[in-house]
Amino acid sequence: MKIAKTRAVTWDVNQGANHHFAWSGNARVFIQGNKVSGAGAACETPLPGWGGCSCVGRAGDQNLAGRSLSVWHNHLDMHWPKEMASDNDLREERSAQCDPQQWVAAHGDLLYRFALVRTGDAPAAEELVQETFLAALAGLDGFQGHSSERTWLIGILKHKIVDHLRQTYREVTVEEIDAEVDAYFDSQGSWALPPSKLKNPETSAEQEELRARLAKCLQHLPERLMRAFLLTQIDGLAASETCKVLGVTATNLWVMLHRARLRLRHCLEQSGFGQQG
Amino acid sequence: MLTCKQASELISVQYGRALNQRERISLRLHLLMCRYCRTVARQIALIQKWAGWQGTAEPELLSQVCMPEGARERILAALADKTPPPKDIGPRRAEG
Repeated sequence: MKIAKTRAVTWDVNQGANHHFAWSGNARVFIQGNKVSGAGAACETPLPGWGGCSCVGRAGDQNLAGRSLSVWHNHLDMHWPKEMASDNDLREERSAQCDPQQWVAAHGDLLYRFALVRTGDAPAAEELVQETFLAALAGLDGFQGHSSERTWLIGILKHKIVDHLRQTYREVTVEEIDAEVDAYFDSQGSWALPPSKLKNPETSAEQEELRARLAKCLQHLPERLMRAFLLTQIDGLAASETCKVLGVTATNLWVMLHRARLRLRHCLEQSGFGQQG
Repeated sequence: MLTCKQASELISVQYGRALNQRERISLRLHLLMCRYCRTVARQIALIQKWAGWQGTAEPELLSQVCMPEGARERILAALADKTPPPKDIGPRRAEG
């Protein structure tokens, strides 16, 4: 991927002093061609071009006197970092992070959706969001700024969700018949309707379209299939753990995931995504 | 010889565990002869790729759903007592 240099600033630095810089977006930070490392930790999003990243770096141990700090990025929506913030600015920033009103306004709805889609239980989702904020407040010192605030909060929420699902565990059996999936095949086990070829999304607009359509398809899956797919394939929860929280055997989980995939591909076809005929 | 239904199961299973030799060979043979299942294999690969992109962000998912009325206030009330004062994280550096 082409990396464009967007801006370089000269940072007047007192040797030995702590300097902090913060940015969001997918960025790599270099000081005169050397990537900031160690004490001046740089920050990169785990998935280039996707999501965002806000990061507080510390460059106190580096001899930066008179050097220039450049930010190179390949993320169109990157926001230019706040101008070299001093310790005081950082203190203010931490206080702002600590403002529950701002937290709830900025992340409340997203966390609620995240919990709701995984628990299927509105009161439980609200309680989990509240517990997440409480845990975040209690553990504020543990937030190193290596990930965005939102990623950090989602990380806490994920643990809360798994705990909740474990508590509400009850054993279930997977229904033997899934009429919709069975209808994809004829009595001989061949495809009842020929599957249509889908275009491989190459441009970012096509990828965006695919993402939007599949997200919509996921919502239309039966709740248990959606949850099984979300937890294992998107959240990366281990199969053994997923079996525990969903109350199914390993075999049942594979059956559910298979049905989820078949329904998703069918839904994607129905949506007419990039069909080549 | 596998049916398409059985082949689709093996295509799916691959994303959870490695196929054994017998399964691998029978799936490969089926895919050689069945263009429909080749198409489905590509579709499922695309879905798995998308799942990987999604990570935990999923902004579109249920994007129309917001917290129920009063939830914001209830959460804020619960948080109000627990908010610690801003921490002193070190002296302000000298400017210039």
